[in-house]
Amino acid sequence: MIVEAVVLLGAVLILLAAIGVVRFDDVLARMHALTKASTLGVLLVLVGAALYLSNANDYTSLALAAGLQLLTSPVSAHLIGRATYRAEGIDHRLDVVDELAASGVDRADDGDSAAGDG
Amino acid sequence: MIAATFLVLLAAGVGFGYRLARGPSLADRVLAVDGLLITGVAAIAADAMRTGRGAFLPVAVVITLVGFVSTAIVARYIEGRGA
Amino acid sequence: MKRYLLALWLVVAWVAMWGRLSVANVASGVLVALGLLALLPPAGSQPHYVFRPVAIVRFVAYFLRQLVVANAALTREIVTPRDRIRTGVIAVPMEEGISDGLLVFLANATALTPGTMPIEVVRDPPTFYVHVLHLHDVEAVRDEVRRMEHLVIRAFGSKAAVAALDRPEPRGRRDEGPS
Repeated sequence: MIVEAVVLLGAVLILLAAIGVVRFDDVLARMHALTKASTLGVLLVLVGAALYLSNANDYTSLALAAGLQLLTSPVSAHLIGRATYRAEGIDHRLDVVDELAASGVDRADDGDSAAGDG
Repeated sequence: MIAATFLVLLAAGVGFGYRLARGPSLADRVLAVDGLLITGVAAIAADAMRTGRGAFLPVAVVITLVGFVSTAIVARYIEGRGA
Repeated sequence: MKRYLLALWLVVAWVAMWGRLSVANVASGVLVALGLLALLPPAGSQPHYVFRPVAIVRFVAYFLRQLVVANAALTREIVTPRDRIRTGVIAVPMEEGISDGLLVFLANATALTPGTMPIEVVRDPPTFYVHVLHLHDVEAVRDEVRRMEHLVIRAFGSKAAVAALDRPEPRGRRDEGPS
């Protein structure tokens, strides 16, 4: 019973991530919501399923899925965030501090991006 | 309670689907697809709990990996092309 | 040495996918791992990672707590009206001798902690550029990221890196922001 509640909590966190993705105004903000909430949510669901099932075969698949989620989800969020920043910059309506623009880090350092700055 | 889990995941899927349809930029749509993939992984795990058989669990691993690679590819594209 | 550890991890993952620890699984796993390693060239420098159990536990406990706090903050954020968002990108300089693997690990950890998301990593000098969701106090966010960094170095870093942490710093290096 507790295990099912854990799984339900994980699903609610994923729903929270979805609400965040729908409600926030800015791509980068939506990405914050998606990464943090859905990673913890899916971890809870996978851990709950591992506790509920009793086959060793399943444990390994679930452990592998959980480990891979934990590794890949932040990286893909970072890649999208970086790509969006390089393509568009952040929304200066929102009263921001932007030290990356000020630092002069070369945006197109991989040589194959066709667009110029911003 | 597992039925409630499925309902919640369905609502999450609808939310991500809305963003997929509406999201003004390509990055929004990629986020929505990533969210849908995570919802799918959770649904597979919940279904394994419902039936008691873990036959589809390796699918969750494959979805995670393929989703990561495709997100990375689209991120590269956005960087070059603009969102 | 690092390559053999990588091969071991590949074999473990392969056997985990098949689920059963049988001779056939392990043998095919070893073949696949060796084949992959033969195809892919070795990476650049192989830094030496040390595992310190107490420090690792401290880091994991802090990280898990931050993960939960991040979600609590996010929940409150989603439920209350939206116009409190004030975003920004700040620069956080890292320790000079930090290795690439630790930098990547730290970037992953920062993506999961409250309010922060790394969007650019520069290797020389090592700096994170972090996108923050609620930017009210720049120095507080920098301190948070640095705290995580110190925990990671103490948990996994080489002896030289930990010694560099404990050495008193020359005045003036930390006080200047990105110039």
